[in-house]
Amino acid sequence: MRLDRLAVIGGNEWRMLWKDQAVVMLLIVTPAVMMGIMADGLAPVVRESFDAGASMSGADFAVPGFTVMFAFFMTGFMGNGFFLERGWGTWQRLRASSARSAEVLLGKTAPYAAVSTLQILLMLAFGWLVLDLHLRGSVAGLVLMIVAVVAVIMAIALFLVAHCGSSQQISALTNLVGIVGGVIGGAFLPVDSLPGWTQAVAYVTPQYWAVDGLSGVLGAGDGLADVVPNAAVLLGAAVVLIALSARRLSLTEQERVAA
Amino acid sequence: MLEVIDLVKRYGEVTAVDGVSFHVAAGEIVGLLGVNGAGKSTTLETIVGLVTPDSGTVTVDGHDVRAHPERARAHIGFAAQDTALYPRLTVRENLRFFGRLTGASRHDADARADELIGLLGLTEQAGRLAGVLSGGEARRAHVAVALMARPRLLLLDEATVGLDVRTRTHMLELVVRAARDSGAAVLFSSHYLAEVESICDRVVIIHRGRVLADGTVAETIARHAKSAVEFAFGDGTRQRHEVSDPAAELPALLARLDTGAGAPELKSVNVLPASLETAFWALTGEEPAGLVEEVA
Repeated sequence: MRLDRLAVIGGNEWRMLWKDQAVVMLLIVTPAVMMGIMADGLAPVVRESFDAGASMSGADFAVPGFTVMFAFFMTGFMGNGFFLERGWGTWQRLRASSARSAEVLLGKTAPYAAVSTLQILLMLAFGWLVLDLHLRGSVAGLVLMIVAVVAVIMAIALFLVAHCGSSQQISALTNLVGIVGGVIGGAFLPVDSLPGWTQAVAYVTPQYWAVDGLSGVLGAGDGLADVVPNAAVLLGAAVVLIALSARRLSLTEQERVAA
Repeated sequence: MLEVIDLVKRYGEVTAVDGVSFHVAAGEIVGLLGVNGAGKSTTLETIVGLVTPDSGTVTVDGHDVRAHPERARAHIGFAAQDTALYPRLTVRENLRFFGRLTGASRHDADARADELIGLLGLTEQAGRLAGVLSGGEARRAHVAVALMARPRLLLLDEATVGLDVRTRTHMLELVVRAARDSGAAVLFSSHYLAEVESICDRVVIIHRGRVLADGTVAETIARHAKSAVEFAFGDGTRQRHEVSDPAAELPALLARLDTGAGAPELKSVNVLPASLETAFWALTGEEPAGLVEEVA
């Protein structure tokens, strides 16, 4: 792995992303509006759904919930970015260069990870400054959760790139992952307040572990050790998805080139 | 510089490349000729490592492309058949990015980009987004990217498609300079036999995945070319007949033409001397553009 090439590829991707800053802003402004609307209304539900609910505000759930829900839309943004590059022919050109596949994938992914991290931090800052969001738990736990959430989002995006045949498929699956996964995973309403069958399914969604960990460390005062299981599930899922994607990506690339 | 040995690539039942072998020496320009689907692009993509062959080996400057792809690709400049540029970046930004990807410093990449912008007549377009370039401008920028790293092996797949005569001539001069002045080995895939004949030292003719001929232009013409007489008809069809002595055989060919009611009107008769084009036709039974009706 050569860091100079990684930096060149990442810098180029960042330049391309910057030209789509309106879309990036939309991914930040939309959840901010949603959490502003929903925070007060969610307060009674939060009091009933969480053990520490009595001391939690509506924002202590709405901010991590909507932050997670909209953070997962980055999968579609990133996936479509990869597909655009295929259409331009530059993906093939990158692969024909002396850069290794890992350098290309990591270099292209890093700017999206940075934007995703920035998106989450801005949401939390907005919640803290404008809404009634608390940080009662461990800062290290919060950092760990943000890293784990961003990692699983990047991994899902790579998985979609590897397994989808078109950007339309990626967009459709992003809606499925982002909206359906978000609602079932408790990003819109606490899982305890959802129908019984969804509570059983919630555990298979990454959003469940993300919202549970973030709302725990923010509003409920959880420590680092409390959120390690959440982060471990998310990071474990990311490792599995990346392993599946890397293999699939290298195989399908040859067929796509040949076609 | 480039050694391709017994290359085989299959896609299911279809054998796209079937035992292809050839070489290109430093400073040499080799034309890779074949009709659409002959296996040219698959061969080029295998050389650059984008396609993994089922068997056979490709070495670039002694580096096996499969075993050491990074080392092999460091020497290759590749311009694929379809233009490949970032449409949201300017021409200069595209060149700078791909230059820096090869390890050039910012200063060196800028200097090389400016040099190629001048050489390829892209000065006016340098600051424009690649997405708004005309087809010919984009093609020139596409080839410029392949030249950024001063490659020791230059692979050009239909590099002159869509260029006007002046730009095409200019592009061919650049290719020749890359080989003669810089010592690059050039593999030049094209449908335009006249330009291949004008710049290539050798030609490799490939058909249905197999090499049918490999030699200098003169050798290929001497071994495989025959003269031909070509009839063009009012309905747009053409017939081509291989002949040994056009003047002697033309009357008999004319006498055999169908002149009955409903037969298309004969518009013109062309006598084609032995050339790379007639050699290609004799070997493959097809014209590069694939428009000639074959006559037994």
